[in-house]
Amino acid sequence: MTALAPEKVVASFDSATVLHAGLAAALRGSPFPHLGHGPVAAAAIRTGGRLPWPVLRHLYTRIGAAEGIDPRRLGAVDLAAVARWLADGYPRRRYPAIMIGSSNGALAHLAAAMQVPWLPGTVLVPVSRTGDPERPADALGFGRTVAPRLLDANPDVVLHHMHDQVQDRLMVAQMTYFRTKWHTLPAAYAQFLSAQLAPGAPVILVEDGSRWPVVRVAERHVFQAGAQGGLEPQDYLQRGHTPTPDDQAPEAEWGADPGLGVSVAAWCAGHGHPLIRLRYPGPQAPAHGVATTMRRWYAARGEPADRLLVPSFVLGDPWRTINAAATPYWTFFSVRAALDAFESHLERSAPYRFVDILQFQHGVRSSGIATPEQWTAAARRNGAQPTLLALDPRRFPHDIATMGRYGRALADLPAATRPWSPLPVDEAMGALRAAGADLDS
Amino acid sequence: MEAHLLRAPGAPGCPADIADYGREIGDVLGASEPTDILIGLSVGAQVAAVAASRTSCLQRLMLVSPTVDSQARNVPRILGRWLAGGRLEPAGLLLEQAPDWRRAGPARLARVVRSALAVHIEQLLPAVAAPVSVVHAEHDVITSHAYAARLAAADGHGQLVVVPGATHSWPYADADRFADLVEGLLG
Repeated sequence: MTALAPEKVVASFDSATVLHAGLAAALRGSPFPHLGHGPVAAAAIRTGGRLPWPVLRHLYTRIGAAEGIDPRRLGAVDLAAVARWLADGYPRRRYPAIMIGSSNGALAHLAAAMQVPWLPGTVLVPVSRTGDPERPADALGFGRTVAPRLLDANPDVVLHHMHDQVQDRLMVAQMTYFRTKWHTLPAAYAQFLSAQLAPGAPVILVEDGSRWPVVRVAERHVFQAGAQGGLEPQDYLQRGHTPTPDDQAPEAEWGADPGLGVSVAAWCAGHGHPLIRLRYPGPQAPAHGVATTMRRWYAARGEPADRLLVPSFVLGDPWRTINAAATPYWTFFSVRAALDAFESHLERSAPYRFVDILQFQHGVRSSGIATPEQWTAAARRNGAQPTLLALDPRRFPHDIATMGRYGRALADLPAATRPWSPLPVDEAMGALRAAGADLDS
Repeated sequence: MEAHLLRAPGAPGCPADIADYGREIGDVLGASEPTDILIGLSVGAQVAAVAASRTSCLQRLMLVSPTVDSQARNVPRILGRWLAGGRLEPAGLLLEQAPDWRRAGPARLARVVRSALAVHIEQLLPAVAAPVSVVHAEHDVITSHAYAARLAAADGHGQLVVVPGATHSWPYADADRFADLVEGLLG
């Protein structure tokens, strides 16, 4: 069976893939408008975004569903080729560190400031499937049938089949989410480390400790009902047609596979590179430390450092953020937990003058969602002037066109005034540690 | 501290060949008291790199918007990038440069371009003893960030400096920020 091209294997809306693309753009010194899509697609998104929501919802779902892989072709998915494609996405030069592991938008911004790459530990393979979103058990049965083709062809991954009918409601009616985690270091990543790490440079292992109750289907296959966001695991498990979990596993989207960590540690020991383990309890946790670190970095060179930018999920642009000397406080989704963490950051920090807020639009007013009004109110309570960037709050959470507009909005931010050099890795790690991060080296 | 403004390659009385001009400057520097910093802008960075590779009497090399990007080493590509860059530069820059180009004449300008395509800074840096700062403008479309960063990372001791909001020839229009940057690098 002919292998599928890597860019056809992973979802274009996958957090790992989009955060990777945004960071790769920053290492090429390029902005990252409209999530890496071309200007024509961006114009189409902006135009289409004016349609009434019932029409747009249909289009959004159809376009998303078109990405699903025919389950009969899962044996043609080559995740080793995906790893090669991800590594090849970065410019070739000697880097002062390389990050590897869990997806995290805050750490992607820090990596851009350090000008170091990050190799994702998890990618999303969307699989075509039509089904009732309210019947996760059916999705589990489907996965049990078709997953062996994928797993047999890819012995170095663990499949975390995820079904979130709350936040991914529109998508899971037309596709199912196969999140795959490498449990050993892919050969392409090992080659990239060997070729691109500067002598003696560290590998930073990013380990999100998020876990979730799962049904264990096979040794390398688990099923997860629900996902991190507005609800807790028990909120999903109480719903009908939901299989009873019999195990715990790393959370499908954000959690770190321990096998990859063991493999990376062995590579470092064998190749004379120091290993730095960066551990945290969930995707929102690093944002405060990263914001604090980057704000100090700006202030040290004389920038006012009074502008906070709030990227949302995949909506953001590390290159533009840094060149506007805007402090990034990344939020993993527009949900209450992220809003509370954001407000806590504001309360613990010297006042910001401006707070520019991006809001990823997932199209569903799902449980636990945080509204634009709540975000702006939190900023005002802490003395800042909030702006909703590229968002029409009347259309929230359906303002899909924000994806085609945010690039322009970020380009219009005032440029930083002072020249900058990449944030030294040891300085960044020290500042993260001082801000409370769990770093082990 | 004394500052000397060196003329652009191809200007009357200066070699039009980048490598020849760089060797000439390198030999002068080698026979002089140590120089605190040698700065080259655009093709001038190539001249400066050649010069720095020939002397140990240099404390720091500063390459601003260094050409020619390894991804643009042919005439159509570099011409395309130069035209694209021209659209971003202040209109007054062309008026400032035009008299120099007229004095140099098309034959010498062509020689500057041909020799610029042949001088590859990344091959010279291993022979440069001085610490290197590579300065890249955020909106430089003639030299890519990737190329500038690769030069800075070449020997493990280089320094990349990014100038936000700036274009390829930014020091012409932003003398204060340029002076501040040089002062900062000199400590």
